Amino acid sequence: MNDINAAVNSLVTAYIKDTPKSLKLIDSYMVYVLLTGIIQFVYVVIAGTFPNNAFLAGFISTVASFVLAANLRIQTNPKNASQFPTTSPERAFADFLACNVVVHFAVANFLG
Amino acid sequence: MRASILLSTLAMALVAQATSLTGLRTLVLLDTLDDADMYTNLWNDLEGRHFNLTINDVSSPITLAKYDRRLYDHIIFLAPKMKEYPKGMSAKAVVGFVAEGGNVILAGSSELASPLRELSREFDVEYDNRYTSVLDHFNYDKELGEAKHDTIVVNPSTHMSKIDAIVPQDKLPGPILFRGIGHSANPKNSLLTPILWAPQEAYSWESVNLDESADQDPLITGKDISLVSVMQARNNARIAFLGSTDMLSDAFFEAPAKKQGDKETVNGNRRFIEELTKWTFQEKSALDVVAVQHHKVGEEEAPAHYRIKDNMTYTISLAEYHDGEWHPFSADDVQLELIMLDPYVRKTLEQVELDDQSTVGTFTTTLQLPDQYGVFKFTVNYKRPGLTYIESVTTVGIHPFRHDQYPRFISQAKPYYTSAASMGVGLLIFTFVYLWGGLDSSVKTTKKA
Repeated sequence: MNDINAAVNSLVTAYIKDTPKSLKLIDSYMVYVLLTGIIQFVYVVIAGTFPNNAFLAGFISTVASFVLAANLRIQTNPKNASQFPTTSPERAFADFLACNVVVHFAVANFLG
Repeated sequence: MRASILLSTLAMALVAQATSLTGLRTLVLLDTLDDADMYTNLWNDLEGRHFNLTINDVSSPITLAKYDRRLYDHIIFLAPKMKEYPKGMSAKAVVGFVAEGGNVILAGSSELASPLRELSREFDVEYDNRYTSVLDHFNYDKELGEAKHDTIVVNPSTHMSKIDAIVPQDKLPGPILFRGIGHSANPKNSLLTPILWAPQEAYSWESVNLDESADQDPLITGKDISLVSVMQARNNARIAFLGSTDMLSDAFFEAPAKKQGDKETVNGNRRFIEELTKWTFQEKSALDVVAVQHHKVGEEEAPAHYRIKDNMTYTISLAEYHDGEWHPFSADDVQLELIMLDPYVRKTLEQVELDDQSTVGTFTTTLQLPDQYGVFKFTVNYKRPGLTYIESVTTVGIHPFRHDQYPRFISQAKPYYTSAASMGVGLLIFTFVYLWGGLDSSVKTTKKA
């Protein structure tokens, strides 16, 4: 038990100290998206899936936003710069925005 | 006695105005033309109701149909001894006559021979063997049946069917006298209805010698012996089967009925035959569908098609024919069915209040169409004993929702709407902060202490 506590503590302090602010922003955005998804899932378990398309649209919007944010984090992390020689962080963010526009357009259509 | 009968004949001739819906051309078949003198009251009654009687005997040829059309509208068989059909007639021809809408009255007697017996078999009616009679040692008429116990007195209140549409029991002034052969109408046939049946003590046997008792079980006994049965075919043609030609004769019309132990009364034969012939010749208890309307609630015209879960009003008008005229029909059990292979909805229609000007009975209802699309039939299938069969079918299509007719902004889906909106808002805020929030994306490393 004590070993786990020590490991978690060192992980948290390292995270707070070493992670750049932009990545922390992306992480907080992802937590927000995750919470929204969990709330929706709990709601559908309680209240049923009646407007099926509305549930799917709402849930998929959170899942897609989470995945796109994760992708943005991977591509803009300076430590991974060697894996993305042709993709600059600006290009990654532009991709992120474009994909989000497509996803939210589809979600708004499917929401009914 | 005579005077009262003459007066009642006059009264009936004045009152009788019933006209048959099928037509007035009636063919009467007798064994010999001399028999016509036995039924003068019957001819007077029928001619008083405007029937054209053609009285033939079995030796003259008859044409029932020409160029595929009936030449007669009704046939009365009063020739039980007939061994062969007259030329031009056969069992097949008579069945074809009924299939074309002609009505038939078939009267037998103890001497019923095979042609008419086989004709009755076509309609699921089985007469007993030749030379048998319906005998009853407890219910025979004291005057006519003393010798052989074969003229029986039947009480209409206990041994007659309660279907008022055919013969209303309260109109009969007395019991029915019967002398003849019994028959059995197949109980499994839903088109056949026994009207008059024998008392429980009766049995059907050869009336040869009263001193001998029946040495085998009679074929039919008691209530199973039908004396009068009727059938209404699926095309609404009506056929009556009687076991006795004497029932219709003058002698029986005028005879008093006296059962052992009862006092003498007037018999009800004349009235019974009058009501039976009125029913069989389509002068009463005939229904017709006058109009059918259906439309969406709030509109007047029938739409080209409906949509699922529409509210619809259905109206049907029915008229009943009796006493020479069409009258409004009244009932409380007319039902509407919405059928697509199976009924999805079955609802009892309510009758609109009749007033003095009503010529038809109107039945209406408002209902919501089922949540199923397809081609539906709005059916009123009304089959009741004694009345003509009504089957009114209106075919309509029910369409599913168009894509813009589905419900929107459902309150149960509010969390999903807010979450999708919040995703978009969150994305915007994230973008602004990320791009212009002055965030540093470099990795800080610290020397390990």
